[in-house]
Amino acid sequence: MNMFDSFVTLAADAPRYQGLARTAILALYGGMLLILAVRSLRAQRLKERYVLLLVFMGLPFLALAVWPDALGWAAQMLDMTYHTLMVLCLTGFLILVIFELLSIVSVQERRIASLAQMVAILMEQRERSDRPQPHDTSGSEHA
Amino acid sequence: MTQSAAVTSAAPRCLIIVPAYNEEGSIADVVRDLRRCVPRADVLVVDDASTDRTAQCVPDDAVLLRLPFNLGIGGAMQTGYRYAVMHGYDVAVQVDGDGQHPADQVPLLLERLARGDVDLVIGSRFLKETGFRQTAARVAGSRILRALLRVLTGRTITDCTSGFRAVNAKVIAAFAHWYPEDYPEPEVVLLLHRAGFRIAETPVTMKPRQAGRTSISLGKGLFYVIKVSVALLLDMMRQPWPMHQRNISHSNVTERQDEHVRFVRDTRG
Repeated sequence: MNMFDSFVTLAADAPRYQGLARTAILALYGGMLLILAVRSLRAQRLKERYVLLLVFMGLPFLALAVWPDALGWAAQMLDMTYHTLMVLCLTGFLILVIFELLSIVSVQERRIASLAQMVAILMEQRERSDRPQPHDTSGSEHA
Repeated sequence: MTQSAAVTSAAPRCLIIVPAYNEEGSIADVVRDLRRCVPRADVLVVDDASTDRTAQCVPDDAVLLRLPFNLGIGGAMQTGYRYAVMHGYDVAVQVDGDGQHPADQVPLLLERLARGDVDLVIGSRFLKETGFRQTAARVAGSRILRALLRVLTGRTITDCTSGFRAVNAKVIAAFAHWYPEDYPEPEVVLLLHRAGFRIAETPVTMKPRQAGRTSISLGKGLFYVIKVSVALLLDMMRQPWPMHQRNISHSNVTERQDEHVRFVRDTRG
């Protein structure tokens, strides 16, 4: 087989190679996210709940690597164009991620506020205990 | 005998909570007036990380809590209620640090609360003609919120944005447990009503600000009404103090505070 024949064979198989390349890219991307998640968890750099976020981000890419036509199939089933479905999926996913992050921020904000309140109360207690005590302790507590 | 009645007969320990943010021009007079008009009560000033000399202006006979950073009115007030729980106060009164709430009106709130038939008393500027004047925009905003609260609670609260309030031990414990952060005055009315607490108003007179500037302009005021209205509607879907929590005791909340103290200690290592 000369060089020309090899090139013709390769060109004929192009769609198959394209499919393989797509699968490889998707698997690589999804796999990287999963590896990042596991490494972060092992290094105790991220808490479990945030690691789950990374895992949920990576799994759809792995699923698409295994079943590349999933979106096309879903678009057909829902009777909408492929691109519309892509935008919907992306928007939905981003909203979920933002919601998760906002809920984390809200909880942390409450905890930080609670700590700040305790700091203020404890500082006052310490200052009061450091102050010389008056002999007369009658009347109200701080009068 | 109800808890409130017991508190009345045993001369309740009263804490006056004064949230203050950049009130260096008025805070000293406010505290001095309170000490003069309500000598048996302790005065607590919660300095919400003021950028001026508010903390330095607080007289020595008041307790001063200095928040490390600004938490807003809700966070500052809850700090006061947590302090009240930790020190076993039976009654707490909220008085603004800008001098709008005259100290000689505090006994009116306490007298109404002492009857024992309510858990929260709101000092109202509009229950009787007191000559208090507001801008047209503020009047309109108040009326919208009043109408919304009437729809949501079936009750008419004439001054739902008044921050001049007195509460009993049950409400102190509830507030220490949870307190709205963003628009506490109207939200508290709705949430307490939904949780089964008893609310009443009593007529009081109020003064214009002694010093400083109000943080609410016309545009902000309009936006405030819209935001509060939405917040009130959302409040219909949450219950921070469910019915079973009405019996939340001082010891329950103190345990929570102890948990916080332990947590802080553990964090320090």
